[in-house]
Amino acid sequence: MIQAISLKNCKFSYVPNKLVINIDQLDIASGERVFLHGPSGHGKSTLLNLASGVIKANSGVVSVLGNDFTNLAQSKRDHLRGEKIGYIFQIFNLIPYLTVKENIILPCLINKKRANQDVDKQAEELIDSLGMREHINKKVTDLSIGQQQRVAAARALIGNPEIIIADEPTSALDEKNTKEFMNLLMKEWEKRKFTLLFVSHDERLKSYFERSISLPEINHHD
Amino acid sequence: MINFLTFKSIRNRKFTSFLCVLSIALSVTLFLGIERIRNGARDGFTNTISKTDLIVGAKGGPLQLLLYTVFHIGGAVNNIKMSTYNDIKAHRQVEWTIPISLGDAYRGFRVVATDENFYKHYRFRGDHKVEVMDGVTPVDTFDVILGSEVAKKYKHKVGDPIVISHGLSEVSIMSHDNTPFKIVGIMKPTQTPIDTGVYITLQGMEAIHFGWETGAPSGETIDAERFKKENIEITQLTSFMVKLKSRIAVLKMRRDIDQYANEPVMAIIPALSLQEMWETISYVEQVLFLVSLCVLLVGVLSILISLYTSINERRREMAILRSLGASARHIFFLLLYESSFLVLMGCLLGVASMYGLLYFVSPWLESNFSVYLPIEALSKTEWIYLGAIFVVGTLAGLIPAIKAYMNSLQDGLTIKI
Repeated sequence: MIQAISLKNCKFSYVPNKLVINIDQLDIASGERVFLHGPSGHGKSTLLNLASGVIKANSGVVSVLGNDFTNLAQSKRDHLRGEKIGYIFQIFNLIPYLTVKENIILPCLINKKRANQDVDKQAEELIDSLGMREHINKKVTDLSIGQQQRVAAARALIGNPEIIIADEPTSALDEKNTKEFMNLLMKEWEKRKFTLLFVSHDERLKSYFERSISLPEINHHD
Repeated sequence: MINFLTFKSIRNRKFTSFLCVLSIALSVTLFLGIERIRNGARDGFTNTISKTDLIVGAKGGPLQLLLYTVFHIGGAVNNIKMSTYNDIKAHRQVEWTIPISLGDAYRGFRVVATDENFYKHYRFRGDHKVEVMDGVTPVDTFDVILGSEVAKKYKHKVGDPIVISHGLSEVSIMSHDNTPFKIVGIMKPTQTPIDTGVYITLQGMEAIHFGWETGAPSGETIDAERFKKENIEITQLTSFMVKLKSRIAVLKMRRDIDQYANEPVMAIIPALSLQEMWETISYVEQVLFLVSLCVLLVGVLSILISLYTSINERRREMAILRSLGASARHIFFLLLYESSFLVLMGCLLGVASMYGLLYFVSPWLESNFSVYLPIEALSKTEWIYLGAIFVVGTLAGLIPAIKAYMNSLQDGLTIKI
């Protein structure tokens, strides 16, 4: 089976002699839904930065969709992220001066390979499936947090990226909005079968996923 | 995507962006405007007289000769003999001459006696010649043509009689009441000292002084026959202008005149003297230039400050763009585009308002300061200035752009709130 994300003997540190990441083995299969949990301070952000190619491991292998990130130039990694990875932050995902629709199509403007067909049509379909048709041309600052996170999900989904990385996307949401958000994400997964790496410290969400990984268990950082 | 984002982001910060553009525009306007005024003043000054190769007058200060012949300022210590004039005029190298005889004033304006050559040959600001707006040029002894300023100030029309006073003071002590001059023409504005002159014939100048030979009026009535043009003999001049057939001969001719045996006379090259005179006051020009440079510096700094302060509040935006596949280089260029766009807008607005200002101010400058500012297309130098402003403004944007670049490398996908 092809691994979507694969880390082997991966080490990373910001300052010498203080490893933030020290992972022997982490494999996430293509199309898999993985729940990654653990308290803060265990290198969660760093791991996501490594997996999305923003930073480079000091040693070992970080391979994403068959591309060895440790041997790939920064610009190539940026390009690959733009083309094949959708990313959702925990809050404030959206560019405040763009409308809902403009935010959703932004990845396709940054990377032309992200979507090969009609970008506008895709954006509108996504907005429809989020039930946000009436907000399409609104400023994102006029939306509620729940709505903003749904728009962020739509932006991550546009162009059918192979990997979606969600960095605590529900931590700012109440229970009802969390449920709505998770259902929506799962519904889209059923349709698109992307690889989902979902990071959260809310272990109640574990049930939505096929596999759960505890970060403190795999990361032997200093 | 960069164009799209730049545009949206500038629109998002409408007010600050507008202020930025405005400050650039203001400095561009001031810079170009001051440059134009500076050049206009210099051109206006050094082109007060053109085409004339030499000015000849009694020996004395060269500056003085220039001042009284061209600017009607001050007076000559000595006159020159008519025979000297005729002698030089007859030289085979001479193309034309314009005789000038000064001495009197009309209500504070200088009376200049000359002949038809003045109207035919005198040139200023390149190839502009003296033109009559109304009436004709003086032919008879008591004919007068007024400079436009004189006519405007005293609301004179063609046909009005005027009285010319002896000496130069505005309040005339002794008027030449018995020699009634008549206005036969009014000249078009030239923006040169001609506008403030009252022009009569050489014979007229002689006629004013009939019966004044002792320096005060003799009281005797003068026979009308004596005033007839053909009965008046011109005996002396104040100075005269010379145009040579070949410019190569100018220096030699000047030397010859300086060594003229029959009378102590001297010649100056007006273009050279004007240039020299301007240079003595050119520090004013340099100060103006420095001031406009400072204004420009402030404009460029305003861009730097406004972009730099916006960087921190936009850190989150940068991280989002990074997560969507933008490289740190993208972020760098995004900022750079923004600054160059603001500078470009500032330049455009600045040029537009410079022309707007010119349109309103130039008539006033022209009539009050003789600074002639035609509304012309941007000169090559101005394009270079604009280009330099654009480059410097964009370079100022480099500093926030580098800062944003460093930030986004450091932050990665971590959102700093």
